[in-house]
Amino acid sequence: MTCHDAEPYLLEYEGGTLTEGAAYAHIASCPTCQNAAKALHETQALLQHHVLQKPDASLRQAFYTMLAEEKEKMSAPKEAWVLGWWKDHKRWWLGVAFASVFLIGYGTALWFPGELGPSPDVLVLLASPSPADRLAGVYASWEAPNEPGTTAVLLDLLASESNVNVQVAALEVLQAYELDEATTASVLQYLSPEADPVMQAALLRFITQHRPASSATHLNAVLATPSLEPLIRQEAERVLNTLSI
Amino acid sequence: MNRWIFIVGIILVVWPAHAQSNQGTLRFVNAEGPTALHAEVHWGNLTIVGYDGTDVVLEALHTAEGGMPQPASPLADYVFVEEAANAISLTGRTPQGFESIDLVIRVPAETNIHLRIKRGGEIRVGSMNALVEIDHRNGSVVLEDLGGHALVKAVNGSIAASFRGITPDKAMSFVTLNGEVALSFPDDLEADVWLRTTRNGHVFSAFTLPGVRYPYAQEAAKGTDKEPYGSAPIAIRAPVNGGGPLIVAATENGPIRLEHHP
Repeated sequence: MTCHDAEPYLLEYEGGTLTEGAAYAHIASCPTCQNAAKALHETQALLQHHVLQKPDASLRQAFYTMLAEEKEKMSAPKEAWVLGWWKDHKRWWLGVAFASVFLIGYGTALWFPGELGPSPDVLVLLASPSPADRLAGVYASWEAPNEPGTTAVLLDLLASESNVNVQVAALEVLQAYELDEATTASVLQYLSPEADPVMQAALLRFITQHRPASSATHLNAVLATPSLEPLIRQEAERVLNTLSI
Repeated sequence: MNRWIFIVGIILVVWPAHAQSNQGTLRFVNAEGPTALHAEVHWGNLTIVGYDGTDVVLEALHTAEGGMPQPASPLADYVFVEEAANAISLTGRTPQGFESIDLVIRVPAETNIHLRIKRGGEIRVGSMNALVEIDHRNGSVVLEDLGGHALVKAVNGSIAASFRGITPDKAMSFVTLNGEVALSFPDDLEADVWLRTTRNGHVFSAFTLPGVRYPYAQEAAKGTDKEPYGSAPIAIRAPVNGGGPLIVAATENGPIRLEHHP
């Protein structure tokens, strides 16, 4: 016989109606069961002195109001569990929404880089204060399809870039693109007598590829420069002859 | 007399940042070392040596027309010095007649350097570990024992650059109008190389260029006695040891060589 087995008999023992048997023998000799029986006895005594409280007058009305509300809920169309969940987790939903918009936008830029211009990673490189990073960004643009966004970025770079290595790289990439007349004309403006000879060489290759309409005018202006590098002069004359054919 | 020596001594002690001697030498004392150095002359040589320190030491030599190199003294008459935001700018004066000003500069090896010679001279750089940016008109460019990355443009002159190591993920470019481009890198170089010579050139590479059918690279690798100079343009894009940061080597007139760093 254990305490657990004797527990149902505690009340009888305390009431004096349990006088023999294994349960009686256990309870009588077990301190734990003795304490439990005593506590039961005290609880019973308290209950006997308990005064029943009368319910408040408004309790009945409150009950009927609650009942009517429950009836109304049950008859109303059940809202989608999602809506209910949304009401309870608004912040979580907003976070998911923002993250989704960002990921969709970023993913679109990565998947269709040309349609939006260079990818964000390339744009970061092109805006870097390091000319080495800008160089890497220019050549990375080569991988993007020939889209107006990429061309515009490269033209901006040509206008603002101070490092000739990066400028030449931008020209090399633009040379590989299919460009409209307006774009080729805007590139042609960099062919001037004052331009760096390495830039002049790159521009001559660009003209050979794209043949902008006003090339002859720019070439003649360059050829009129007395201090023109001999190699540039030779190449400019060759390109001019090619255009006149 | 003692009073005057004391006064001059006080002036030299409290002179901010640097002290100027009459030997064409200038020392910039900087506890952290400069982040950037810009040096520019019209005619003359620029020699930059990197070292493990924080000071910048400038030595300037002036060569008058028909004369021999002499210490440029007083220095302020020959070199305009500007220091701002931890960047030092040294600019040789506009030439008076046919004169040249040579600058020899010891600089912390981690400094980004930007060098320019407007007319002619030679540029030599050694033992630098950061960005070496060069804009040169006439004369050769020699870069030795580099551990960083470089962007070099020359008009008339060869470019020779030797790297004991490179900055990872930094593109490099070596472009000249007339002259050879000779680059050497460690055996384990991982890079994407773009090599272009427009005329009178060939391409030699000690590194395997997979997929390259250009015969001169193979011919030269066999150790033929005479390296062939072709008249047609040669353009090669290939990965070295699997690929890595971009290295562009281009000349309008001359050969291109890729060698192993000794």
